[in-house]
Amino acid sequence: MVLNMLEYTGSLKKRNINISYSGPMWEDGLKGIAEMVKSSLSSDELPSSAAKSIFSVFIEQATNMLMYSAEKEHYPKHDAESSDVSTGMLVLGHKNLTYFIQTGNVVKSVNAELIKGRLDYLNTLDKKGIRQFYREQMRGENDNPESQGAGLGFIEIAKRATAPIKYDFEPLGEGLFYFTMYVEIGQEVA
Amino acid sequence: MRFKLEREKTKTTPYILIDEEKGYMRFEGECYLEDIIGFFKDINEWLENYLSSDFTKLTFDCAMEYFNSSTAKLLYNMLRSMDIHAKDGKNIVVNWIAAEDDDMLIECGEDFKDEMESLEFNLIIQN
Repeated sequence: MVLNMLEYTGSLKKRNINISYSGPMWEDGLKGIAEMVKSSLSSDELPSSAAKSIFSVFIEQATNMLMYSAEKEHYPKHDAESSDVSTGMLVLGHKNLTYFIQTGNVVKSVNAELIKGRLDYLNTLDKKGIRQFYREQMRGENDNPESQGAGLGFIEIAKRATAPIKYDFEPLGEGLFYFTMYVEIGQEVA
Repeated sequence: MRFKLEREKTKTTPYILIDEEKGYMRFEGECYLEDIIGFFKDINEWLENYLSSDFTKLTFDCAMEYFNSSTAKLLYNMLRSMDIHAKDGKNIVVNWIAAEDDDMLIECGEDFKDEMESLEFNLIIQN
């Protein structure tokens, strides 16, 4: 069945979404989307530090998806050695000067618990506490190359977020959950 | 043979300059969505060798504009290594260069500076 694109784009617009991506993700592929997000932010007449904050949240959310997505698609042409790439969904939008970035991807229950624990904890901290926690995590010796950044990504997101991070885990059965994460970055009113 | 490395910047990796003869290292640009460990492998190897050698000085100019959290961790580990050797009396200077309106980089520089014990860490704010 043909998708009604006008209706589809209209529903995105109604929700103030400017950029929406759904499909396979790998580092090199995401670079193009990142480039687009960066240009789009720089044309929005934001102070450069605000644009950088939003971009940083985007990068960390995208990286988390690469790391945790349990849904893989087979792409034989991508890379001979690792042809299973993560899939997920990413949207960015703004209402006036309040930006939001939302991601959706499948995660295993073990990661769902890990992520939930981390986000719940971060949501209890104020800005000062988050900065302190970031430094503690930075100091901690975690040299496992599998966990590049060692959870710093979520803390970086919490640092930039101007409202508690919203999330949802929808059970899909067979130990899988559909994980949605919503981050808001507003501007301080001078 | 003194080690020398110069790597052009890309959109997602920084410009790198290492000049062992001058005891100088410089990073400049952005770093994200990359195999960070792979990209910095030779740089890290050189740094560890240099720090354990009988060198006279090391100046590290860090003029990054944006980096992701994995890169932050990597930079932190490099600085920690330098700090340990500075504690042994080695002459190591880090210049953390940030634009004056770049709150993110300034905050990161402040936190890194605060974490170091013996290193000369200069936070240089440019307008």
